[in-house]
Amino acid sequence: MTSLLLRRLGFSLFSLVVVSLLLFVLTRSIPESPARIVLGDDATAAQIAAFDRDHGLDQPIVVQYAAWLERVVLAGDLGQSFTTGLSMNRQIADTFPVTMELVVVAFVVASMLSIVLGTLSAFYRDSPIDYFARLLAVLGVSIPGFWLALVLILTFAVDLDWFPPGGFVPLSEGLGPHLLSIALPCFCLAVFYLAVITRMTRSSLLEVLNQDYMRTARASGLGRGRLLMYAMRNALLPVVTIAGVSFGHMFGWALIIEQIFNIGGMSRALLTAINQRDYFMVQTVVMVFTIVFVLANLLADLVNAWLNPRLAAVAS
Amino acid sequence: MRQPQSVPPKPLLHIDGLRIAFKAGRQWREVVRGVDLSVAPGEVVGLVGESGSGKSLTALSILQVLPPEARIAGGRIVFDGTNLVGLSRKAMNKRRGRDIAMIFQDPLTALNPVIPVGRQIYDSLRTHQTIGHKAALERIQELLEMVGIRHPRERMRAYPHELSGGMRQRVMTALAISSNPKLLIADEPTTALDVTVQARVIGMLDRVRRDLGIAVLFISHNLELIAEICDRVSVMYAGKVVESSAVETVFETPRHPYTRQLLRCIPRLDGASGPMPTIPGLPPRFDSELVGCPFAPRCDEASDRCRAAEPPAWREPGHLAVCWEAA
Repeated sequence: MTSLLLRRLGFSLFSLVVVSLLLFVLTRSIPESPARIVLGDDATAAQIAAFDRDHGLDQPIVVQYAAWLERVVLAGDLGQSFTTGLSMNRQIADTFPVTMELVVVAFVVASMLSIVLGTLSAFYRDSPIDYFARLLAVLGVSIPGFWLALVLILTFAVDLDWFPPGGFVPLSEGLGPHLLSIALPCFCLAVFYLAVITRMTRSSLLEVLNQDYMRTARASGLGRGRLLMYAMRNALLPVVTIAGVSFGHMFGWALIIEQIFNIGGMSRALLTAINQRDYFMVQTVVMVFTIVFVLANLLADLVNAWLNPRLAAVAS
Repeated sequence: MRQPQSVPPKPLLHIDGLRIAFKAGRQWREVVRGVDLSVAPGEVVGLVGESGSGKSLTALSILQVLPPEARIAGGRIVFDGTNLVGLSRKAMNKRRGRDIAMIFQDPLTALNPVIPVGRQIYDSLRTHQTIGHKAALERIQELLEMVGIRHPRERMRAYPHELSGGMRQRVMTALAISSNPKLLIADEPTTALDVTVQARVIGMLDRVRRDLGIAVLFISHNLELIAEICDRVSVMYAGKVVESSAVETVFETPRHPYTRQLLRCIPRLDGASGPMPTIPGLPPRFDSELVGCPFAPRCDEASDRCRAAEPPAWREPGHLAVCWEAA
């Protein structure tokens, strides 16, 4: 178990280093120096060289990377954007929690509902609840999120006026308004994953229910609760993996949803940065995405290792 | 171990005209076509036949753990005076694992891979008995010792994949006997094991069932094994019992040609060398229409009568054969 944990942790760190290096090199290989953007088209070559020297941009890329890594890891300082001069820590701190909240709420709702729905669907195969779950699963994966968002805004915000049509109300202005403001975006974000995880739970559980050990459990006269536990311990393994990947994906989807609902999360930070050709900020935002993705998968792996003793056995 | 069985006492299990249908596409086809079988308290009855003869389905139907594509289509399964067919799930669950327990063929797939083996026994124990946590743990150790597992305290924490095949089948047995069942159904319990392990597991099973006085329905295609441990034996072919009697009778004076051919197929060390005898042909497919005796196409004694009409049952006290030529 410990060795598995260390291996997964090592692998996650390794992925982070590789991705950050790649991002770093890509950002630095844009032919145009950030000085050109900051100083304008009139800047002389000497001014640009001076800017590069001041910001360490004239150093070999490996040296730059080492310096960046040292600052990020040891000081927790993402640095300042050369283009806007703003602290990137500040910008991330302002926007990350908003996106994170949307994703976490959507994820928790999606996974809890889908596991319940998928389980009912498998246990009561070919019953009305199963048809409902299967229909929902097909709809959920086939309806585009941005279209659904627009339809929901038109119906529930504009026509019915149940929810605000957009914008983010912080928690400090009251729980009710806050929840109302994130309800529609979270729903749009959740639907696709609700469908995916429901299908996964259903098919995984159906397979498990056919296994010999479930027959043994039935032959032992175990009650429904025990049977469910015996089945779920096995059926959840692939579901957890999918859920881990989904969490990372949801972060990406959140960008589009935030745009539609006009929510000032990381999508705004990213788009602003792209518009301003603030490559360093873009790099930072993408890095944050990577970290979330890697951590979500790491967590899924750990949950699986805990659920499945064979995994730990294979690793050691 | 064979005790000459006089007229058997009131049977513990009495199967009467059991029919099981299997779903083939949109149709239900009967694959078990009227099986009669009985097991007296403490008796060991063998059920033998080729794969597809319906012996495993017959066994599974007793506990009503048939696969979803199979169902009991008729007949009665009377256990201890109660017909189990049609019982509610709740009433059935009171008997499963407590009065009737089952050991399956492959102990690796039959035990839950992500739950420690001790926990699996624990859950069964506490389902059927009012027993405290500590008492249950002690009982599990006692059970594991009974089936010949050393260091039971450590072993109960193991997962199935951490145990050897023989060890897993011992655990499976401990699980089955945990609530002192009256009847144990063993569905080819040693087929998936190494030959060297088989004998030891069989020895253990036999000792345990003697100690606890459990009746056993032993399903196997291994006639030698049947001869060794059973009191009576029923031979199944194409969903029917074709011969049934005390083990000695079946081995010494078999009445059904199928039984005779099966006996000829037992490899012998002493006999003349030569090709292994086999029974030519295949049993009928379960979705084919049966006319006459289902064994007739493979039988070297078959006449036109055999191919035209189903054979009657020939009976003598304690001996049954379903064959035109039996008399």
